[in-house]
Amino acid sequence: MGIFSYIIGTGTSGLSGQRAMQQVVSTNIANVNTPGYVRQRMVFSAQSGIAGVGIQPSSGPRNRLLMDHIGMVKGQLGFHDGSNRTLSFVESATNELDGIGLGPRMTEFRENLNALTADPSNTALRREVLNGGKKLAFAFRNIRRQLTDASETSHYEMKYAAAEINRMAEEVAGLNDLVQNQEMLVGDTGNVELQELVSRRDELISQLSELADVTSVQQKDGTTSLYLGGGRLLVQADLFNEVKVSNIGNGPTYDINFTITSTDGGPDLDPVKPIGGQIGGLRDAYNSAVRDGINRVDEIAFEFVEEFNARHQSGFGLNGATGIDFFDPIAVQDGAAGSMVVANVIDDDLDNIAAATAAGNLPGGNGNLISLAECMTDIGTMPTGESFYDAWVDYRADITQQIQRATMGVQTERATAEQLENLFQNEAGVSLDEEMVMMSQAKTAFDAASQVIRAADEMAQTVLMMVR
Amino acid sequence: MRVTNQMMTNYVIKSTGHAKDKYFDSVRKINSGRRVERPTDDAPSAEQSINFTRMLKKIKTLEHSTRIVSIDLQAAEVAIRQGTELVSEANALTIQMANDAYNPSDRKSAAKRIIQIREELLHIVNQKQAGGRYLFGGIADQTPPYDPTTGVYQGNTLNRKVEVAPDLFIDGTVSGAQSFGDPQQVFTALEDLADFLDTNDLAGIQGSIDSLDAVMDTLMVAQADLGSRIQVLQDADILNQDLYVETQLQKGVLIDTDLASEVTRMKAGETALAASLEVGKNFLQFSMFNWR
Repeated sequence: MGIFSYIIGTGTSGLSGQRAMQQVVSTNIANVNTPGYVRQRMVFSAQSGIAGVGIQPSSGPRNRLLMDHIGMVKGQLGFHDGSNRTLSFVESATNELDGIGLGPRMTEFRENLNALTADPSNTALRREVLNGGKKLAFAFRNIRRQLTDASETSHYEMKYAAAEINRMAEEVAGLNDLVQNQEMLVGDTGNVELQELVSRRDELISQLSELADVTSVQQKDGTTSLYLGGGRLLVQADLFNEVKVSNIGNGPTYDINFTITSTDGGPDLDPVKPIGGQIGGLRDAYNSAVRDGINRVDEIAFEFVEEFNARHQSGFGLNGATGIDFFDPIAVQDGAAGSMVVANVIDDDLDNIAAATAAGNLPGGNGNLISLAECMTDIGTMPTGESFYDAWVDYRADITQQIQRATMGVQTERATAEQLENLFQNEAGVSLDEEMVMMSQAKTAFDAASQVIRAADEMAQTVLMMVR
Repeated sequence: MRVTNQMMTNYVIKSTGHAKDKYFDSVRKINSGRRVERPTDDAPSAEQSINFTRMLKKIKTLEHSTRIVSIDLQAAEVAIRQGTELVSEANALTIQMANDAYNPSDRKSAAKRIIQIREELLHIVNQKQAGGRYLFGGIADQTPPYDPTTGVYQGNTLNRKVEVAPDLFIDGTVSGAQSFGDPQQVFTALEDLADFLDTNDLAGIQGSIDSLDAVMDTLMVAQADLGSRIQVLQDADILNQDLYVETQLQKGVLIDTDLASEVTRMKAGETALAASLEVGKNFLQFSMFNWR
């Protein structure tokens, strides 16, 4: 009967092989849309000295080089995306296409002064000048408040991104632990659960790369170590460190600092080089658009109030008063835009608006009004040599340029990431067509193996009947 | 290249998202009527549009200033014309009374008319325009330029420069001293003439003809000066109006939506989105259960 058991053994190994094959195909189909999933395959091989086939599930190709490259591109994508997030707040604050904002208020105030030049003693026109000055002061205060809000939002987003990085780092460390245990207890060969854990960890690292440009290193024990900020350890085996966001100085123009904090009580470490990814983009845009923007607006407000008051002091009001400030003087540049207001002495008596250049030119002289109206656009009034209006326009144009650069960066990096992900999919993704073919093959082979067993059984029955 | 299902899903999501973005972008542009809503939509157009808005505000101010100055100068021109007619009447009466055919009684009557002319003229030069400003005080426009009794000039000879078109400044005020003679040439001449007529001083009457001729010359020059300034104002007004319309048009071209082409684009986007959704639906409905 040796021949029958040989045939039945061969058929049985075929049956279990194809059943395993069908399981693998089913797993592949079930995970067709699972992000980061790498298709599984069943490898059949001859067995020495034993009938039938040996089976060995294997994970599909996991191209580490390609995955690292995708991670790097995602880091760049996250950087530009982070910049864009912050810049979009600043853009809405500086968008003056609807005729509202600092630039239009400067223009309006200038035109209020120009209108008064035609009839300097007109009370209604003087009131317009007062209102124009109040609106301009409000516009300065408002833009500073909006930039302060953007600063707080940006700070919050950085903290949120850091929390996400830390959560993911902890999860990667947890997965490292599970992977290590699986390898020790079950081994790599044919371990579908292990492959699923690795896929999950790879997907997490890919998401993490977008938040901060991490570098991953595969260890021999199956764990993955993560580094960021030019070599600072984030995850090693089942241990993880934390990214901490702190601010130095006074808000809203404080310096944002990132440190890597050890969860087991070690010292805080500064990154060796700037942390990239979304959190890096958020900080970059905060520095270049929000913090510098607040300083810029304060500088314009401070210099403007000083220059405008100097010109106003040199003129004469309808009542002969001279040496009067139009805006309340501001002592320090820091916070200047937020504290800009029209002086009470102007609000209380419109005749104090100094239209004439000399007492002899009263009441119809308008020389000082022309000088005041030109104050906004006179070149060289800012320390940089520009006019107040141009200084503001430069900042606004700079924001637009930064947004365009970030948007272009997002588009370019997204296209590159898509291409690389397609390459990854090409190597490791699941194709239902392929799986259908495999399933069909497995089903046919399963039927064939089953037929072999049935035939062997029939042959054995026949032989038994003959013997009886 | 192997085409996996994840690649196809990504492609469907991407193309549907792209079609949706294009469609809603068109809808937004049609609803708002604006092609450019944020500087990043089209940075050069946005910046130019802001500059155009500034220009429009400036033109509105210039139109306002032109209107104020125009009212003042036209009122001054009418006043000077009336003054010229009165001085001309006084001149004609003087020439008439210098003739030997008239007797001292006629000249006394003429002296009364000359005094009336002086008072009428004083009333004219001290009149205000609609805004309450005096016309002939120079920039001292809040007090009567001439003493209502003595006719002594109290205004000044300073002028207010007013911008009436972009970078075009004109004198927006009129000085009585410059229009009627220095400093109150016309009133002195009329007072003297009335005295000469009253006292039947023929030599003095003859001399007054020269004085009044000099006043007439001064008034003619003032009238010509005002006429040319009013002409500049009218030109500035036309220029401002043309500039306003042109700037509005340019701004509209830059940032307003071209409805005809945008509606076509929206319809195309709508079709593309519907097609993309249909493809996506068919693709995503595919499963093992309907596989044959």
